[in-house]
Amino acid sequence: MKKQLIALMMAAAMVIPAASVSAEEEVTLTIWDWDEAHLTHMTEWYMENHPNVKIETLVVAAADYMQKFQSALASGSGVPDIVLSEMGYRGRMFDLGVLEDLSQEPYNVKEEDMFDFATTLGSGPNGELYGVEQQICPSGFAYRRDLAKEYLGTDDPAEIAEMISDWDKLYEVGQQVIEKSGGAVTVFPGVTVLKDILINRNVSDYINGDEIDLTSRYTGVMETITKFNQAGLLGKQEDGTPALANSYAAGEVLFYPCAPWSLKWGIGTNDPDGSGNWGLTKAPENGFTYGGTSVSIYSGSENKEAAWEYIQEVYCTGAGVEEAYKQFGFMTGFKAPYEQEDSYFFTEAGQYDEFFGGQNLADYFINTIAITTEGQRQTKHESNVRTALANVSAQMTGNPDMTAEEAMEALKTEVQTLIPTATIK
Amino acid sequence: MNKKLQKKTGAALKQLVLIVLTLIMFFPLYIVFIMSTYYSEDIFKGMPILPANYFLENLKMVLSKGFLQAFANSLIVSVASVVVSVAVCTSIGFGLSKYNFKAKKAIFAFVIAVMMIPNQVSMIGYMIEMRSLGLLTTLLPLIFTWAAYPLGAFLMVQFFSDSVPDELLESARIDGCSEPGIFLKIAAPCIKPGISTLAVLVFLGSWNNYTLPVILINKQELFTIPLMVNSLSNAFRSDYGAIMCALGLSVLPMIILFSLCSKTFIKGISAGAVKG
Amino acid sequence: MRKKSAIRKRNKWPYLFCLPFLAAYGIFNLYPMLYSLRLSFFDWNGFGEKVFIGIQNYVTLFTKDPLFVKSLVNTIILMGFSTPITVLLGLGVAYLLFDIKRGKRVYQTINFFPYITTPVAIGFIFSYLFDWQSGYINKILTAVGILDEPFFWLGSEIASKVIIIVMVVWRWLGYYMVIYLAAMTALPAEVYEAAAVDGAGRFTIFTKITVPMLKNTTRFLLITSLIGGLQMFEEPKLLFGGWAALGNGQTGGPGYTALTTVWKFYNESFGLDSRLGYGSAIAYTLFVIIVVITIIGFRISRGRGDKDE
Repeated sequence: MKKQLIALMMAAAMVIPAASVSAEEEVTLTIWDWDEAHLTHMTEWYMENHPNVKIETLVVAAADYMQKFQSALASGSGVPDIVLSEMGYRGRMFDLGVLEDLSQEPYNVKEEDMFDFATTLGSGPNGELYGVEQQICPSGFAYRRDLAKEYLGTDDPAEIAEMISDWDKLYEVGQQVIEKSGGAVTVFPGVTVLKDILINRNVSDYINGDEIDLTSRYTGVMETITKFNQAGLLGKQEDGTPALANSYAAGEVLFYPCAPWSLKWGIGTNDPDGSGNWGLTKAPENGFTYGGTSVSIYSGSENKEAAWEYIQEVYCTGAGVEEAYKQFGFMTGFKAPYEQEDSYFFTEAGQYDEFFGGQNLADYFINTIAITTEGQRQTKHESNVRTALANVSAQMTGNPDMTAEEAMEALKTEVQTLIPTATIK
Repeated sequence: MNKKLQKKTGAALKQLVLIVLTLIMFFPLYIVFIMSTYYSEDIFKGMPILPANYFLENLKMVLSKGFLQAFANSLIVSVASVVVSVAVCTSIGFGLSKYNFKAKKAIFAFVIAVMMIPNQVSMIGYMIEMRSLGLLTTLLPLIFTWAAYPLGAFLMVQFFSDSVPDELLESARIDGCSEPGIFLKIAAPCIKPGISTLAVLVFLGSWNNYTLPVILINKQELFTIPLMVNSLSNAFRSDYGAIMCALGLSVLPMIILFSLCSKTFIKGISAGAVKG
Repeated sequence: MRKKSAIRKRNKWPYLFCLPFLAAYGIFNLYPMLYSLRLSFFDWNGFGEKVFIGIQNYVTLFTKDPLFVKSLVNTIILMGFSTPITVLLGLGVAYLLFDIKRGKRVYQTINFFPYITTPVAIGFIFSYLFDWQSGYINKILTAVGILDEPFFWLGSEIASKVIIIVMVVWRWLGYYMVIYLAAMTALPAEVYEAAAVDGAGRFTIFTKITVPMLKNTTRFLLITSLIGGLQMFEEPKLLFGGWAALGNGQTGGPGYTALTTVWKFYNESFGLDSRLGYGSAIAYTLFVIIVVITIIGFRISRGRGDKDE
């Protein structure tokens, strides 16, 4: 009896401390992010609610991210637990094969948990789910209500959406706008902006290993761009330039691509006095994605479970999602928060609803745009193709007489140069 | 009379050329300072030539993102790099220029040869080495990278050759001075302009270095200024007003340092001024 | 007898003086350099297996990589213009500055500013100057009437190269000026005084006395400028890193006109398709080329120098 009692006590002594240790075990997570405000706020918020988790943050510019990450990998140390991927290098990052597949144990993210486009955007070529979206970017067109009333006759989002329900209609409407305004108001800003709109829709799995079918995927894009450009429907305000930033307030452009983040950083920042003068409508045919950051877990991390807890709380379905939305307007890619009864996304007015003439923007983004938006599956060569597209569209900017065939040829040459081993159609 | 007039117009012309040149050189930095007084979006609305009134806000933003810490880090690294680099490079500069010995040609060729290897090559290997030495959590790797600065060694060789007459050293030897004594007390003081030039070059190289710190530094507290500036941008917008404010502030010490060092040039000139 | 022991004593000192540098180099630089050299015979993407492939990287460079050859051509062109211009202008400005009485400190300091400016700021400034629609240069040129409409500077192959050269000269002029000034200050004064007494004019003093006495410095500056020019990387990358380059930033400018060899190395090692072995091969090939060109440059300059003597 005594022996059994002692054995029992010893067993208990071993189990109980172990149980309490795992509950209070100190974990240190490392996250690299370029968005200092979001990073600092959300990690501090999380640490307050989880005192046993210490998060070390590092601000790394998106342009340096890939290089720093690869250097850390090569040197064998210092790789962060939570990794962020921007659209520009996402395919490459996924292809490195050092990120956890979140559809597997113990994460078990199911396809129906997220919006379709969020799932494909975070997937590799064989269906592995490498990342969840930091915030989803289903996008439509933002427009100035005064310009719309003058040149389209209405500023109602639904009516405008009907007027431009496909790209041919948009083309005709655009020509009328140019005539009426004498060229002072263009339909879109520069070539590079239209390029970003067009390449993020009508997605297909056009990259199969080293075989890249550019023709089927991008011929339509090039044709639309040249058509619009040669008809004078595009302005000269290129992506990222000060000219683009100034055009919002100056009323030189009718439609701007608008993702949820564009509300604050595109329109709000650049036209601070324009409250009430803006509206959001959907793009022709289907929605498109515009920008986006993917959040992943490093396979070599020693704190994968803790990392997953953080990601769930802040980016998936936890309380952090509400916090991020309230502070930064970030919208999660998971459906559950929107489907809740009295979801805070829809019951409370968003930060920019008044700016956009009282539209319920969150509702519009999710229920009108997101359902038609598709996401491009990420493969190893996707990043290089995007680089080539940027290069070619810059060429088209400098050379407005370029035809669609010439643009496609230039694209094929660029991609071949960047990926010597590829077979290109 | 004619000669005097010639001289005067010559001098005036010279001043004119210098003024134009200096304005062109100064313009970009002037823009940096001007922009630091603007609200970021306003910068692109026109052509900012005159200062605006947003400086205090920009300053507040910059300080709140850890500028002072980054400044201190940059200062520590750069000053230490200068000390180490000057000590090492003057030493080998002296050895190679004022002595004849068997290995002289070989070592000199070696110095020149390694100058030709692009430094980016060694980044990964250096990182691996620093990791195995356990130094990646410190600022030391940023300092050690300047210890054996081939250009610095080459520069010192040239300065010693050009400016330290052998006779000076011989007479010191005859007087019984030891070799290190000659080095420290006689030869080195002769090339003070050269040393201060080297100091400025190393300080600047270290202060403005971006690529190496990006790869090596993994702790926010150890950020140098070029890295800290990244925190002023987020995913969608770069706060150019604040960025220029931070960069303008970071340039100030260099301006001070260079102005101080240029005193040494002036001293040298008054000692042996060109007349006529 | 005393002489012999004095000489023997002297014999160890040069080695001791050289020791700190060689030791520091051995510890901090040699391992990384050799590591890269070894890496150039492998195929490695940074975290997978290193696959030994012998000299294949080097062969691919010259046979299957037209961009590499183009980058060499670019680099040599850019260096060929920027080196002589910066060195000569540096000497000229130093000459102008050396003996003026008024404002010398101011001129000296301000002309050095471009070199002081952080590269991040330089990239921004040049994007600002050359932006297509809102850049200063275009605004001024259209206002004055030289241009009808804004010119897309960074979309033109030739304009891009010219701008890079201008940028290099702008950035490095102060550097060369400062070094020449320091050297000129350190020259022994007696020679000047003697020449002045003989009645020589300032320009004559400069060309016949100062310049030859600066021979070593000039050679040093030319050679380091040559080497630095062949390693040119920051200026083109900064120029094309801002928004003004639109989509051309990552790929080295329109038609790859601004892609220098070190930039190509950088892309290969740290770009989207990281091939560290291949990148190292590029770096060491460049090293060999630099050595060859430098030796040629050295011989030429020594030949001319010896003729003067």
